[in-house]
Amino acid sequence: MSRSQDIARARGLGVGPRASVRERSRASRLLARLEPPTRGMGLGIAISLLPGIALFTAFFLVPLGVVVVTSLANWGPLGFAFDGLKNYRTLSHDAAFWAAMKNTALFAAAGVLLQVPVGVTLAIVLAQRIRGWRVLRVIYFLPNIVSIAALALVYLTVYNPRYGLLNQVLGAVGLPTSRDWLFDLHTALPAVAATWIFTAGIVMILTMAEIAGIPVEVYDAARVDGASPWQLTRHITLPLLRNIVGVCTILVLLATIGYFDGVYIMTGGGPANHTLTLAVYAFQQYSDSDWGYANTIGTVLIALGLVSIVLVRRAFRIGERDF
Amino acid sequence: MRSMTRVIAAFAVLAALGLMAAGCGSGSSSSSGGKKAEVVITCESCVVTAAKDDTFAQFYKQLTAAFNAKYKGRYHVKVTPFKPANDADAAQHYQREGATGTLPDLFTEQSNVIQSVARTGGLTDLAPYLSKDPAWKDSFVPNAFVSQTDAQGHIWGVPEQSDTIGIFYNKALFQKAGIAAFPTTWDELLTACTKLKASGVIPFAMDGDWVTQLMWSNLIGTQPGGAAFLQAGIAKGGLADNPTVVKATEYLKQMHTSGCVNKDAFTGDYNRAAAPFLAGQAAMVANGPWMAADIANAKLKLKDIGYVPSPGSGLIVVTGSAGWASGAKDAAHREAAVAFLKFLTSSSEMYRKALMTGSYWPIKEQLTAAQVKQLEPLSYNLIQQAKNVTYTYPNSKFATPEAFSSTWINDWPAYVQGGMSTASFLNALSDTLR
Repeated sequence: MSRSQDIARARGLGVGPRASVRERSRASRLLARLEPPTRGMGLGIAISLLPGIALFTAFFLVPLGVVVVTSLANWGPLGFAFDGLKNYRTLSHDAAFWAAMKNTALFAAAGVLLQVPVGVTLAIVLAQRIRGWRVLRVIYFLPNIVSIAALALVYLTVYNPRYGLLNQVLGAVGLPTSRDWLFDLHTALPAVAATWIFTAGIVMILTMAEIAGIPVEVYDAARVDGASPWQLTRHITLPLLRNIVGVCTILVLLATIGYFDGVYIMTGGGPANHTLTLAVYAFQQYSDSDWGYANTIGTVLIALGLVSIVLVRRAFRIGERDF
Repeated sequence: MRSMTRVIAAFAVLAALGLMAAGCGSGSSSSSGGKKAEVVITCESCVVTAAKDDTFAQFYKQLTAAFNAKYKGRYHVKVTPFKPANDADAAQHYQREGATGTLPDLFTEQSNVIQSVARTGGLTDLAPYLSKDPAWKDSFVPNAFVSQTDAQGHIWGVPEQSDTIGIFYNKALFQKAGIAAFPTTWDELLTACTKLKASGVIPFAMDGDWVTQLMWSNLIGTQPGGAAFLQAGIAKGGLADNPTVVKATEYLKQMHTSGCVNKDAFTGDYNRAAAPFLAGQAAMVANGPWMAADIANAKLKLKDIGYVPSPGSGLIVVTGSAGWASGAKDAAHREAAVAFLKFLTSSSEMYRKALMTGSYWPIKEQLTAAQVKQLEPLSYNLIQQAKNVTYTYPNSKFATPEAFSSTWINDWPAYVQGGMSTASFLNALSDTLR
């Protein structure tokens, strides 16, 4: 069935084989108004899209192409020479790269398994309009307003083993106070992750907006059928959040895959690469004047991002309607 | 037709005016009317405006102004400032300029950066200019040009500084801990650490990078053969196979594991070492003479502070770790750049720099008693002690690439915590030297 027939049917104007001539004529007049006015406007649309396409090409596609192409080169301030897949071969047995890959994967997993559920849970709770929900919403969202760099500097002080707040609090309750949280091999990674893992403000806000869009009638109907608040959440709210949870998962994944600022400021990737991420490692290679190798790592980052988007879109069937 | 002629005439007049203007402002050494035009040289490390508390910038500002005043009509330094974010940024910036032929006529950088820029072919070899002026060449202390000279004998930079780096200690905190004098052996240092720790202060302030590596150099340099290793051997790598280096590294680790250093000694941030010392919470810190200005600004009294050679009777003496190089492209600009370098390394400017910044000269300075009296006493006295110590040696940090320090910052905490063996740690450092 054509789109015109769909629209016409929706309007109650039958255009099937049994429709009268009058009905058909009325339907076609209406459809003429409903069809998007594209005929004869192709040039205008193309011209209006041109600045956007040009800017997108200049500031995104070209740099992206440069990153991918130069990942195949030995490139630094002193020269440029293509050397095929040599950088990728080096990458395959580079211990620091694999440490960065592992840490990035752990950050991504922590983001998806902790940050998303925390954000969604907060949203569901606050959407109940509990007492003080507006204030709580602002409080939970505040860390998202502060820059990651500023937060990292604060956490540097909090974690400081000599005068940091954390050790002082531990000391007050009789626990050991000598741990150097950010430079201890056992605590460095969780200490860095803890600085952002619970800042689920974006997930919370997006999910709250989605919950607000769920028709009240659906809940009313379920209540009439005797559904409890938990059943409302379990069988109505959660299934209808599939799309937004998928979108939030993509956002969190992309943010964690490219995580840089916090690690760079707090540990620089140390101790012994225990907090090194791919983004920080790429920057380190750039700083060491190995631009080609840095872009090889950058290309891996791009590939990881694309694969993540495709997988999450499929897993969550993002874009498909539930009702 | 007439209007066309007018248009052509107007263009001709404009073109002539343009050419005249270009001739006036080019800064080339072409002559005009028999009088040589002023040669304008660009300088990326010179300064026009400087913060009041930035003593080095203040000196460069005065130096630039004084040079321009002295050589008015002949040479003029045009400041085209570049402030690198860090050493790596500086290296890339100048390497790029070298590769693209856009180096300034003058700039100052670390000697290893200058050597890497020299490989682009854009730097002026200063050896012929030094040979042409024996008085200038002989004014420098012996070995002043070692780190600026390549294997072929080209001299790519002129040093402006020679630093004698010792250990600052807080006499009051030593007294409180019942220690009469600064330790003269490494065993005595560990004993002093125990006493200082018992008295409730941080014995030795470290940062996991600069200060920690200064102590590493002291530990290597005060062993037989250590000075030679730091001078030339370190660049060859193989650190794990050198017993002197292994012993020094393990001693430094012991200082950490025995609680001789501050708890936050791993950050790689210099302030983690400087702050507790300046706040009177740490008893010792290794650093250059320029720290005297910070001590004077802190609550500490200079008379309560001692500045002494390392245990084991050694001092780090760094001459020419940084230098001034020239990317001038023609003879006139090279002459002007060399004139600036001679002015910078003149006795009067070097003395003025010492007064302003606390950093000392690489030249054979003969001072009067009145001049000595004006100098900051801590650092001047340390320089005098350099004549009596058993060992003098360079700082490892200046003989190694940037990657050496970043690997140190990364791996040092893991090594101290037992996550790496001494051999693994030293091999990781050696890898950066290839």
